Amino acid sequence: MGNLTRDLEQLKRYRDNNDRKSRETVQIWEESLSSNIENLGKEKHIVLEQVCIAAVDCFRLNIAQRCVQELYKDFPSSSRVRILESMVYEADENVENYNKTLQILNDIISQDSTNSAAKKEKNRNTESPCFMADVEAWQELSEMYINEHDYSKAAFCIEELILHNPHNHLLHQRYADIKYTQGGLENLEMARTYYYQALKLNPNNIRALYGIYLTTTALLNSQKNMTQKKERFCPKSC
Amino acid sequence: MASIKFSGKAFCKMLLHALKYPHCSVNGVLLAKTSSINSKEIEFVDAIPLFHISINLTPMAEIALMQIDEFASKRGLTIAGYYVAPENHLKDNSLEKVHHRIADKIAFNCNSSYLVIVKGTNTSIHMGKVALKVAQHVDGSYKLCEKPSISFGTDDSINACITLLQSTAYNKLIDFDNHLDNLSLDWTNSDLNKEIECLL
Repeated sequence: MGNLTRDLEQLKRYRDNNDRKSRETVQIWEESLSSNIENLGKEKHIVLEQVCIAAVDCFRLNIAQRCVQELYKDFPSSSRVRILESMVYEADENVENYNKTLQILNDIISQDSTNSAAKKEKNRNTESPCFMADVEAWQELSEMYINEHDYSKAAFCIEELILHNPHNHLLHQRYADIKYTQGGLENLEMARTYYYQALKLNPNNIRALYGIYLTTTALLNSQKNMTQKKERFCPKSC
Repeated sequence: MASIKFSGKAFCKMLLHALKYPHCSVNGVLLAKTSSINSKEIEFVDAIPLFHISINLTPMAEIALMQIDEFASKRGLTIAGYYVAPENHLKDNSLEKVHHRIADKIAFNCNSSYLVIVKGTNTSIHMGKVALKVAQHVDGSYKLCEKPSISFGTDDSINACITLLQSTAYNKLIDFDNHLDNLSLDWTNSDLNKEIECLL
């Protein structure tokens, strides 16, 4: 029993710190919780939700499915559980199951059009933001655009995020990273400015320091090329 | 087509990197003996794990490649391969999806370069079938090798990998993102290398 209390405390710590220790969570589940579901007390449901998401991360779909089933026993018509179920389907390789995901989310939205959690999940699957103030959605959308190599749209998303959170050095650094990846003289100058801003906000940001080094070298080289070209085309007289 | 040989060290480090971050896409580069590059059998002796946060951005990759190139050339090695382990390996394991500018850069510097896609989930390793998809750079683009002749230094590689997994060695693996967060962490993973070599 002592172990169980300790494990539950550990899981609570993961939740509170927002640690994504999926494998550790699944391990705790396998070692002590799975045979003790009834003894989890008032934390039972939140722990089941946590384990379910961790199991999806680790591709342990049978564990995830069991958590969903346990949750359905207590909340047969909860939309929060249905969203979890949709996530489990989404992780599955089968295309049919992916369609099930969208179907579940559509059902929830048609029943309750104000359910923002379901809308968010759906946006994640269909790539369209609908709340301007939804910071998380912008963040995810920008990552999605980066993965699709669509850097100008990704930069736009980060601009939105900087508006919401102007003092976050990581956002400035990320914006500069994207601009640098895009390349071109103007973008390089923009990147350098944002790296400086990131460094100003957090002097310990190593990535920003390296970024300043990279952009400055690149800009210097391009300036050299420019002057060389000029010299070649118009001799000393001008 | 040349045959490809992975050392146990390179193989284990690729997989440990993928397993350390099951919820992210990860990437890295493979080092081959400079002498083996133009011969019939290319031998990848080491893997350097790079990133798990936004692998498709280039500035930090440039910094990393500069440092790795320096490290490798001192040891008679060349960066000759790029590996990627996609977050959702079932949906996006096509070559177009994982294609990266690093891979182009490597191909530019090394005339026979490879791109490796790692598909390793915890369970598939235990079943002993870790899928590596290998593509070779031919005439300006990467083409998938139909039946790649891949061999491992020793047969123990998969067993070593399982042992490392059970001892949660992936927590000791340091990639370049970890290094940038805390410069005292060593991206060459010299401690982990020793541990792997003991198992082989």
